[in-house]
Amino acid sequence: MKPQHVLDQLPLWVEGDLPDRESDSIQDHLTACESCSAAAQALRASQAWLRSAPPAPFDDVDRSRLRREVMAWIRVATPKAATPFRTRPLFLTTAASALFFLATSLYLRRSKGVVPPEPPARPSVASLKPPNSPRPAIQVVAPQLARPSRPARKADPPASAESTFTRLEFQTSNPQIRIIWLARAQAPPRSPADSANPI
Amino acid sequence: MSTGMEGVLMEGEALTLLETPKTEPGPVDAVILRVLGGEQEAFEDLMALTEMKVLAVAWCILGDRDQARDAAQEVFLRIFRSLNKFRIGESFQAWTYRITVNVCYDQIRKRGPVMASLAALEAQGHAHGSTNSADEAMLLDQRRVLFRQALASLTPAERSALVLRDIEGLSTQEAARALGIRPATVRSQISAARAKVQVFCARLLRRTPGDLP
Repeated sequence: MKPQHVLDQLPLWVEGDLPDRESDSIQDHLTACESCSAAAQALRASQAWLRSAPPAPFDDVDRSRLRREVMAWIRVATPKAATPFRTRPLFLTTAASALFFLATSLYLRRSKGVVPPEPPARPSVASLKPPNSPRPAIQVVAPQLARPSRPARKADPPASAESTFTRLEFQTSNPQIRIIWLARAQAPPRSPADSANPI
Repeated sequence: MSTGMEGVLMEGEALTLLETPKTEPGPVDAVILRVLGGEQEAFEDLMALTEMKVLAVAWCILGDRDQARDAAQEVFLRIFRSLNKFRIGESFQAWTYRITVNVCYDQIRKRGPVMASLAALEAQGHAHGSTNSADEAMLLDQRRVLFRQALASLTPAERSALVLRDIEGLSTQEAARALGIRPATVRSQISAARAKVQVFCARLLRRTPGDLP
């Protein structure tokens, strides 16, 4: 084993940081080499000096001051966490009450807005049968749209003019046969002249 | 340029280099559970268990009393903020050392590797000596100054490895875990650090013939 290799390994050997096999070979070399043995002795001395280092210059006053500062920061920075959840019943009660009132008011509001379903209205029929006419009567029914039989929450808006139908019913001589027409009135198309001169 | 601080992991980062051994929950874990359960005052108990080690390591790495106190404060604030990331059963000591070393490195990056001068160290020693005997206090101050000078000759990484391994008494594996580096790197760093300290002591012996102070 070369002396330089031993000198390189001495800082680890001196504290037992080398594997046993390598440590034993260095130990064997040190018994035969005076210069390496002196270097090992110097390293032992410096390590002993390092281990006997004086304690850090902090006393109880420093420690209590450190604790005080850290705990003050913790209390200021996290006020919510400073009071555990179970120690805030007032907050919980208030929140639960608010939720209850909110849910109640929403329920009442929904209940008021519901419109009961309308009974199926029978169309008012106006007889167009001329007096003393042998022809079957022509009945004009008031405009009415078929609507789903669901309960409406609010009153439905009035049907627009475009969606109004005129219902025409013809009763044939056979009482089993009835002809029904649904007609929608539309404005007549404008002439090209009207389009060109709207006024 | 090497800053001597490579290989440092953040405290929240998972260690991939080494498996952290799980241990049975101890008294420290019980205190941690109390803090996590909302009992914030228990954090003071946790500080009482670890504050002296944190202060000592910070003082050794930073070389300045006031900076070490600031660093210790920051260490405990970081511990409090990230305590919920700590896995119960792992070594809280290694976790604390890792945070301490990282905070010290942050301070060195911010303020530069300012080591206290000999005169400043002597003044600090005189100001904070707690021994009654004036002679003993002076001797203690002189030893502290020499110790700080010896550590000042090391890079921050070498200093951290040496402090944890030889002064705090951790094993190489524990020091590697605390520093977030491989054990082989720790061995390399402490080997260089011990050699430098030995050179410092040899110079000291030439200046003051006889035994080391």
